[in-house]
Amino acid sequence: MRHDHNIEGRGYGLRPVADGDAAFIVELRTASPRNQHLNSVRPSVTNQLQWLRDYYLRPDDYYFVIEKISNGRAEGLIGLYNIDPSRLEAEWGRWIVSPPSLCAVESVVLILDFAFLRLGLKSVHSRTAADNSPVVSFHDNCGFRRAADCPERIFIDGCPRDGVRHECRAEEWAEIRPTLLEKAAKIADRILRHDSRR
Amino acid sequence: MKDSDALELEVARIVSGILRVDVGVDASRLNVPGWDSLRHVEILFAVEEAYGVTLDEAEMAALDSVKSLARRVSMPR
Repeated sequence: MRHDHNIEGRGYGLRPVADGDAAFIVELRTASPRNQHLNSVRPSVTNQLQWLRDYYLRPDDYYFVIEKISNGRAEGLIGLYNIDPSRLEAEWGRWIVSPPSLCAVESVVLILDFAFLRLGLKSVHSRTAADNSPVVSFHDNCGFRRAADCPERIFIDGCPRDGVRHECRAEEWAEIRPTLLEKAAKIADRILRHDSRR
Repeated sequence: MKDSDALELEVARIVSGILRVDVGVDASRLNVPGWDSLRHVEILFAVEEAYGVTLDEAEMAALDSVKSLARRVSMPR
């Protein structure tokens, strides 16, 4: 959906995806070494713009660019979608980080803060292809709980794949958050110090 | 000064401690599934603390193996 949520962290921020990001989205999603674990995008800015037009109409979908605050450089993408307003649940994902970026930890803190603290959701989940080991490991190591019915079937480009579903309730986030925030802050301090020397 | 083999073994022990799995000197983010983005920053901060070095942002992104970390900490400060 079109939204105006700008979320500022310490080293990185989230801002709404706009038409001007279409080329960046195509580039990031087609160039990523992990793109076989994502629904493919047609390598065309025109097609991506059409996808964005459809996205703007979906009321339950927030898509963000992850930006480095010090220089405004786009370093990744992340989203919160399939929001169920009656159950106060949503899925987060479409998460992709430019390989040299250090934004992974803080971007997750920001999207979950957005879900729980701004939207007041009670639970979020993510679904990852089981063979996308680094991302499955990341979720495990963050402390996100694997769903009891794991593994579950997910579909990537219409093909069924084994998937891993991680869940996090608001009260669990309150426990997980301080550790991730501390790491995100250490990274942010480092990149800010680095940038200030340039 | 430690020789490079000894340094690589030391770094491998640090990485093993963070990942909670034994890894050798050839370990890297490409061949150890548990070496994810979160563990990567934990490894970097542990190496910094162990050797009294400070890695800059570019190094934090690029040093993604036991050997590259060992090479970096062997450089003069």
